Amino acid sequence: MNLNYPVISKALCALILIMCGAMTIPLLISMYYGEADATLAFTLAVIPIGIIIGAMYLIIPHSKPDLTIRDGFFIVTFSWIIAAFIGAVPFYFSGYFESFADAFFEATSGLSTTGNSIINDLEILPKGLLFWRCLMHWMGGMGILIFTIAVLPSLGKGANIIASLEAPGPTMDKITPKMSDTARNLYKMYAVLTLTLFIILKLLGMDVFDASTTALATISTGGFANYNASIAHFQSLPIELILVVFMVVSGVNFNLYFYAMRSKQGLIRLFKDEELRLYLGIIFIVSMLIGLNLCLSDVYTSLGRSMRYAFFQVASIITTTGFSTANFDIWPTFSKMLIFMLMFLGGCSSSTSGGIKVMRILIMMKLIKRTIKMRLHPNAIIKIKINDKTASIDTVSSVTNMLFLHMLLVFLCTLLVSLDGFDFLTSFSSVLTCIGNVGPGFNLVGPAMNFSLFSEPVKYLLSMLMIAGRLELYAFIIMFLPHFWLQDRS
Amino acid sequence: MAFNYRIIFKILSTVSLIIGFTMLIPCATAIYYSETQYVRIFLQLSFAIIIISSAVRHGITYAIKYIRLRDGSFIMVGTWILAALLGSLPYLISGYTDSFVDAFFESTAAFTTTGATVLNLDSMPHCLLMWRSVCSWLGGIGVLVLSISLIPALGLDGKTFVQSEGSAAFSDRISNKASETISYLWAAYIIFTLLELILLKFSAMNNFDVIINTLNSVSTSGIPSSSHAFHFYEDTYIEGVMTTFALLASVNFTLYFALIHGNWQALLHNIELRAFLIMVAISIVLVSLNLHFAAGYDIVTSLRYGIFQCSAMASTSSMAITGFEVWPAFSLTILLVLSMIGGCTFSTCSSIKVQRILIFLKLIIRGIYRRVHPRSVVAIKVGKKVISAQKASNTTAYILFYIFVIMMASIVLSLQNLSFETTLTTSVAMLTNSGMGLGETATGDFSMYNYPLRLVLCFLMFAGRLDLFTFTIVFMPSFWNPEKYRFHLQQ
Repeated sequence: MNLNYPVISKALCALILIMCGAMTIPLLISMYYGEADATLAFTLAVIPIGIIIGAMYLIIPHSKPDLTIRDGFFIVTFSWIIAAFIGAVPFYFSGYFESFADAFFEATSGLSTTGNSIINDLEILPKGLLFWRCLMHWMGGMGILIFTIAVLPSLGKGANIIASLEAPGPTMDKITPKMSDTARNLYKMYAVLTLTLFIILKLLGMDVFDASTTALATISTGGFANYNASIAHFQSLPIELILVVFMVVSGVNFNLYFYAMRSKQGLIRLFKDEELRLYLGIIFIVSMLIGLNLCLSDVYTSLGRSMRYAFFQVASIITTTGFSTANFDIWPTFSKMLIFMLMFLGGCSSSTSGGIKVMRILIMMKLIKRTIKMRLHPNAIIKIKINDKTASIDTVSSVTNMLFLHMLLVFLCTLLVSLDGFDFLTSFSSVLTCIGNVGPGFNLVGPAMNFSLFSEPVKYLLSMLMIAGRLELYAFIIMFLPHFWLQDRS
Repeated sequence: MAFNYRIIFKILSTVSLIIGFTMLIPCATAIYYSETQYVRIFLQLSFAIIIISSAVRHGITYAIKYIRLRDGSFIMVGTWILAALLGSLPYLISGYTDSFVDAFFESTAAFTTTGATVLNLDSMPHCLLMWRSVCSWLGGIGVLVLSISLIPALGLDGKTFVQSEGSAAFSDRISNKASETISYLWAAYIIFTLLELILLKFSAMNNFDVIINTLNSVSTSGIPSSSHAFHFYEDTYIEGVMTTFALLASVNFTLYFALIHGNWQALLHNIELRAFLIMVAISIVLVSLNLHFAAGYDIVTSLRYGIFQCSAMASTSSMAITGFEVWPAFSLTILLVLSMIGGCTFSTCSSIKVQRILIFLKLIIRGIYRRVHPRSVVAIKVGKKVISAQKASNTTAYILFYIFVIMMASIVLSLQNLSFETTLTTSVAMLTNSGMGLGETATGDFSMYNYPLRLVLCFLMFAGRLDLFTFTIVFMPSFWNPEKYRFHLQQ
């Protein structure tokens, strides 16, 4: 069966138009602050792309929006690559980036909510560009395509396929019968959270610009900050506490909030959810361990200070946000090792966070437990249950396959990245942090450093990894297999 | 259901009897090198162990002639811990080290073919070094296999036993009688040892070092850097011989059985062996190229280093080119992953094993295929053989558990506050029984860890050697009290 090219092109055009529309916001901000270079860069990007793609969108005829899963893979992967490409254009025109690779890396890091930067000095960047980075976080956080579906519900049935491919985590519940409604609801929730955080941050004394970008970057678990010192710039305990709360909240399965709002049973479900419990448990225990470790090994003088940094950093890493208030690269190895584990983990499924997701770890642990039991009692019949529902063999095997693919990719990409000649830890953690959409890594890519040291091919590779990680590997990897393309012939 | 204690103790006493007899070898060494205070100690220990264990062995009679799975696991774990305990006695009683933990670590490292050390091998008396090497050698063929070979003598059916032994399950059932297979394993192992002895004799090594290095390399345990080890000689011939035998020992030993029977086909068509050799060859090429271009070695040296280090890592022997820990990250990543994959099923290597990695790769491919064709049913095939769903799921759980244990162990080991790289690779080195990490532990010396953590290292070595699951089930409450959990499990 051939790919449904008319629908695919139409969807891609819609996406680009939305990117262009979004770009007008930073354009206006640049004009407001009187930043000539940034204004010019955004104008140069918005107007030509907008006109050409707008014309194409009108020219391409409407056809049946029947999409196969292959079309879905194609649309999802290419729209992310194209969106990153479009997002990089104003960066490149602004002249603050040395090469297009840098601009592309920054845009990908924005869209995939990774939040690792390539810029050595953020504070000289125009406000328009800073805002664009965080706006891309926000659009990418819930999925740019889900965003597109919410705005342009013309894809019909195909929307289900696309949404299920783009949504993070092993399950995408259909909350409402129509996917476009679900998407709209998700974005409503998302917008409400962002607005709430914005107001609170404003009340805590941030200026409007900082409050808005920080809110955008927090709810999307992105992690771009406007200052070189990240959140440490503000030196304010209330701001840090609020951010910890909102980061943790954004790392929770958004569907649970829906159920909780809709009925009392949903509220019970929220608190009984196994994944949520494990997630909160991990955050609490790991933060306490790191806090104690920091205090006992005299990194910080007081227990309070240690706990403050520990809780912030744990929340920031497990939700794959990547804000920092302290340089965890100089912490003792025990703390670093725990942070390293969290980089794998990520938040809950159907949240804005990246990583492997707690749900998969939960299933993995249950599988291991089951196998050990079966070893001892070969005739026992033991089911893997999540929230009192039996997980099917297909679910379990797709989870373990994803974990395996993750391991294999991390290994292969570490090899490729290490060709740049940096040490093992730098290469390994940069791959891990990109595939998990976390942000900072260790050593040369630690919280106080950035990714500008890599060569251009490696920057492209890491950009692709960020997209692959955001799309949970499969949709992206399949594009590179001959098998996918050869089907057109038969 | 209680354990079949009689048989368990019969086997354990046989194991200790063997250990008692092998203590005479270091005793002879002590006499030769006139290390007089050790002669007495080894003699006394040897006699004491022989007398007690043969008394126990003769005292036990049994009626029930089969062993269950749980008995099998008990014997496995019991044997290794008993061996490690007995093996630590010479170090302790001779007063060479005061601490029980050090002696136990040394003995565990030998019996699990890890080859790591916490003591100074340079100043160690000859007889203790010999004892270490003999333990490694015994560990290589497996104290376990020693006892399986005794099963016919005890009149047992070894089938249940072999199944629970589970070094990735017996994939080629060549012989129905485990005992027959095992006698051939023995033969192959001894032939390799003798061959390597003869080949190393032609080198510049002195006789003592020839024996030490042979015993340690044929068992894929390896030998940490010292004046007795091959490092001292800087000789390509020695390195070549040692790598060859380490590689030979990481091949599925049942293939040698087939070979003795003139079945070349089995050797040629064995997918696992082919994959293993291809894997090692590719690694050698990549590492050598990397060393040549990024580290600036000349082409011959980089090839020599590449061949040696890749083979050593793939066979999980702790044999290291001095200073390999500062090689480029590209090479180090390959080496680390090689040690995690390890050798073939039913070899002296531990680690994940190539067979499982093949299933791992097939599962990934199937996973991708099923994303495109969600309703398809695809069987997992390794070679021409279809892997059952049960086995695929066991393999999956095994690999995931392996990674999980490495991570948890790294967290515990990081309490020592060594560098990140050292900590992470230490847990890999211990669990895979390769015995050398990167960073500070690259020489195979783990004395920078404190006493409680050294016990954690021992624990990891046991877990790696005993196939992880076999080791883990001993810690399950239902292992010790299955009746109590029966109702619970049925739910």
